[in-house]
Amino acid sequence: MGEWILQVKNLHTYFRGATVVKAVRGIDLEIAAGETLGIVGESGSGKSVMAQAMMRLVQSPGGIEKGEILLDGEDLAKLPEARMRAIRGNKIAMIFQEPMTSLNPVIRVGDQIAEVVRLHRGYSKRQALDFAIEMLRKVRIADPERRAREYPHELSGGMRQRVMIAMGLACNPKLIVADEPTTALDVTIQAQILKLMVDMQAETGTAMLLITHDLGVVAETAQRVAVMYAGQVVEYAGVEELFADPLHPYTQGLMASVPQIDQPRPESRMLPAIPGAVPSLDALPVGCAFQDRCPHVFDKCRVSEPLLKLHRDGHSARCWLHD
Amino acid sequence: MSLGLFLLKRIAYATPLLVGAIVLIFVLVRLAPGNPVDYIIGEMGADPVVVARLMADMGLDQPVYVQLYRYVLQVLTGDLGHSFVSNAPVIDLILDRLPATLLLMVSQLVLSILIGVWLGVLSARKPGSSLDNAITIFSLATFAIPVFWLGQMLILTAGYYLHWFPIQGMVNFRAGYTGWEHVVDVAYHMVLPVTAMTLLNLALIQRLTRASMIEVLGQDYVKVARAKGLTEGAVLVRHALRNGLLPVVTVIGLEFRSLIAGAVLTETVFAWPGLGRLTFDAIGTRDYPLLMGMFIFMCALVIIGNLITDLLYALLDPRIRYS
Repeated sequence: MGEWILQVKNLHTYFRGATVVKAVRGIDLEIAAGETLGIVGESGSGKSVMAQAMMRLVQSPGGIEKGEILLDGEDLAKLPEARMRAIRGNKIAMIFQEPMTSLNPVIRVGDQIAEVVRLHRGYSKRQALDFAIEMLRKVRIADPERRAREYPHELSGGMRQRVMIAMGLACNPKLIVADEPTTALDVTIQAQILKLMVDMQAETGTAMLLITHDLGVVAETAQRVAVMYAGQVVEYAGVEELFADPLHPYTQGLMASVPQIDQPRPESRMLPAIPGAVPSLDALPVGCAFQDRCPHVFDKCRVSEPLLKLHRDGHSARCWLHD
Repeated sequence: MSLGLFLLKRIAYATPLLVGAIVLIFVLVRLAPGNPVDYIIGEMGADPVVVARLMADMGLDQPVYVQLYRYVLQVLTGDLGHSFVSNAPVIDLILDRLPATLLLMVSQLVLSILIGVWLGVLSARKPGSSLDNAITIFSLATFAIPVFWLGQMLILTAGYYLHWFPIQGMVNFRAGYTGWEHVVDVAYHMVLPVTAMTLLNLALIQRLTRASMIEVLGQDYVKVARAKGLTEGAVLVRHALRNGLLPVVTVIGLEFRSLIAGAVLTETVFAWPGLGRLTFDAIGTRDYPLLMGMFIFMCALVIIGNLITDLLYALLDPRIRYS
């Protein structure tokens, strides 16, 4: 793919308190128009911080340490705050994890959607509200005129996430950053919301950065996947390639820990899991960050850190085993 | 669901409360040593026959429960009785002084809410910063200082030594201003008492606003508001403050009673011709009817204050509907 909508180059995001927590340590990514890039990783891998860094919304004492975030060739990391505000919600929109708490409880949902187009499109109050009702219809909310006048507590979780999607797509953004958009929903609603997101994306040609810890969600929606571990991308590949032939031991571990419903239970009756936990991001070991949990660890892993290397067409991994 | 029914219910609940308060206050006042006759005849003493006649005139020769019974019946017909000392209807005395007190209370309440909320938001924006610490020290100090001492210190410095503001009263009687000049004169006299009371009350409001805003600023919908591209000011005021003020409104409503208590002290210190002074004088002269009338009036004020708080709460928070 030639035309990247978004290119992230060597992005570092640190939190500077009593110790320096390196939440994101040198990430390179790119997304083309209409494409979905899945970001997978467990809690603490830096997924959400990276998402917030895209929007320049990492709150103090955190911040972008270095690197570039190129949106249509414009480096967001260096933009003045006022210019960045004109991009947020307009060219890049974000969908959050918790639909139950992501809407302001004291403002009508219609007004919350209308706010975005009033701000970025300069619509009048009336125009913006009509537009909000139209957006609610697009995300398939029944009786949108009535719903627009309701408050968030009068809506179900699934409906609230639809409202969030309507809000995100209101200005027809070039990129949607979706941070675990279906995690808080129950399974049937998850499927509906995912389908809605895929349909809306096909309709608008928006690129999507889909952050999730659910490999199933990635398999269904993404074209390419980046696997994150301890603030770095450890494997980066097309979705089919990744599922067919995972290179990094961490990715292999993730795949093994997904229960296979169509296969007999393993004899131990235990689901395979990756032992240990993500290392503390303010005290990372020398060498590979995955060394203490890796079944294939050898001397070199404890001495120097592997680089993300391209192994075959579009498939790269950060591991000494494949050097 | 009708607001009228809600109000009716609340008034129905308030009536037994008021009767209970009357009984309690009546007993407490009679338990205090001394009686109004001592005050009327003065230190020189008088003929026991005269004393007995005065006691009989005021109904004080009856047992306390008979006096209470008579008093409750009288109050229920809407008559607060005659002052023993001023020989005027109690209600006239109260209504005569009410405007002066309202002027003081409303001014200080508006000022302390505006300044307190503003300072609270300032500290909540960066908790632990030097600005937050400075505001915290300031508000803890003003909260800890008793209002009568603060009042006297203000009189001593800004009044007595510096001659910036008048020390006592509400108007300059000698000048006898009228019209616009009278308004300016009253405002000039208000500066010190209003300052004393504002300093006392804004501390509580600042602390509450700070705590509540820190919590609200961590909520998901605030992140969403930022992700929309709103300015920090719009995020703070439109999205955070409306939610953050809810607990503040509750406490201001509950603190209504201490507001009145503060008024008694402040009016006494600054010789302000309001209800506080009237109460203080009534205590000194054991003017039972006036004292009882004042207490009933204050109870009613507190009950009305709480009612207004409840209604305001429903207005601010759509999740609350009285049904």
